[in-house]
Amino acid sequence: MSVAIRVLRIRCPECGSEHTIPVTQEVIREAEQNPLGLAGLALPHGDHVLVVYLDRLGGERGTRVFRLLQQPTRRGLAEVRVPPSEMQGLRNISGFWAELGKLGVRVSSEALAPAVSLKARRGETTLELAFNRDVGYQTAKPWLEMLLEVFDTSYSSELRDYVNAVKALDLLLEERPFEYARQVLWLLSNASTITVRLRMPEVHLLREIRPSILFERYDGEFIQKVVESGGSTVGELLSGVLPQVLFSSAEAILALHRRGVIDLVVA
Amino acid sequence: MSEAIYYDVATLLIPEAVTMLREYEHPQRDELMRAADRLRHVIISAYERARSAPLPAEVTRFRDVMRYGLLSLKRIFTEGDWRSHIFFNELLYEVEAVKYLLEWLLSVIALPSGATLLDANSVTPIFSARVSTRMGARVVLTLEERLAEISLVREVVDEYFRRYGISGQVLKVGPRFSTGAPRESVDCVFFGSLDSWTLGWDAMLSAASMLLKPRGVLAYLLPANYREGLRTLLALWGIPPYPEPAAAAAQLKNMKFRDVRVNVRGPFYAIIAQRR
Repeated sequence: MSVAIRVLRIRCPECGSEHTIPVTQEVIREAEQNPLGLAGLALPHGDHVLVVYLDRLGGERGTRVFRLLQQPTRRGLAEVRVPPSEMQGLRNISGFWAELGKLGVRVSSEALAPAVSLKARRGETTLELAFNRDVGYQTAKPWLEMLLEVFDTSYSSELRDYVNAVKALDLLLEERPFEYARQVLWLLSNASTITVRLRMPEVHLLREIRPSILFERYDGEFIQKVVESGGSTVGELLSGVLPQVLFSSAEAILALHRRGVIDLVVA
Repeated sequence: MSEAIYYDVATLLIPEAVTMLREYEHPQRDELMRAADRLRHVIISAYERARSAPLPAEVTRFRDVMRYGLLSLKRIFTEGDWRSHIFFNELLYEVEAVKYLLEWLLSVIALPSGATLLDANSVTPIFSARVSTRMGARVVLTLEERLAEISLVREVVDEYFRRYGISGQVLKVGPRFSTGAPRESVDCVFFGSLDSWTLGWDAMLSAASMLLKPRGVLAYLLPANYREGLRTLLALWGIPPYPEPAAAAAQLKNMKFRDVRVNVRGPFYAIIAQRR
């Protein structure tokens, strides 16, 4: 059992109810591994969920409230179906379902005649991926585990965010895991909850000097769009539907964040 | 354009650096503040010269980038935020003098097919990326432990490898290549990053002798900080003074390097030489 390092008292801005949150080592560890240095704790109650964000020191860094989309049905989870059109254009994944226990949601798509499927569970999250070809267990396993970990620590209530992360994974399955792969998936699966904040003088220097990698190896027009978009959410910036566009745009946003040109903050 | 103007610009950044030094705990703060104090008359002279004529665009860029470098130091020491250090490294490679010398090195380096390039302490390895793309070289990027332990540095290096399709590996080495470095097995060594300059000239020479195969190529891009202004400014990053280009070339010849070529541009110079 985890021992609380400190205890926070939080009032839900939606209904005014008061909640006690034990900040444990696991929460701190999650914040340390998170690209934004934050960990989210979900407190479902009534017809809504209060998400409290904590930083690496266990301090409160904001809250979000969202309503459950539908009434709970199966195992107390609200059912959400992904339209088949959302899964078009994928090369490896034919469908998925995910139970996001912390949010009380079960998201699923139709899988058309899968060749093979893999399932894994972590915390309150279960994820199953169906593949339209045999990608190989050793190849798929680390990616499945990574996506599962990301879903387990995500608190977006936007269905599209989770679908976009699956789309990116479809491409990643053709690569070996790399240093910041988890960040790409995390950014996508939280896209609607994260806002881009521009930093000066970095934005000014970027526009003036145009460092090579950002304009040679990323879509320069997208880079320009991001640095002119202060206040937009990542979800608003990721307007492309093709997996390649999504993936490369998420990488570009992270590249700007890694250089301190933008900050990514909880919306 | 006289190169002296670069040194005047560097000198004029020293008072700004001192103001910032008061706001954070730099390991050599007292020493740097004393050095800046000694330069009072040099700063006044530089100010008089600089205000008499407008700065050329490339000098203005050099000043803006170095000024940002000072901010990046403050961010490291006050917030532990290395993102600005990464950005500063990339901006420095876009300063005209640096860009010109990197292109010159790329144009004069001749490597056999499948050659191995060792790039030391480059947190933004753009030179390796270019060599890998143009010549198909395999890259061994060495990072001293102090850098390799920063997760952001590992991410950015990985980003360069992925985005430029660099083939090769990253090696964690001890201070001044004391452990973990390959011996007499690389075709080319490159020292040309801010974090490689902290090694100093003597350590760079010993490293080249230890790492290079016979007839291997040494490629250095160095700050011309044997002159004041840049000397004290770069001391903020723990970069010691480097010899004058002629003295550096002579020393290489004495160390059994041949075909020594030097190119100077603004407050930087590049050297290429082949081990006998």
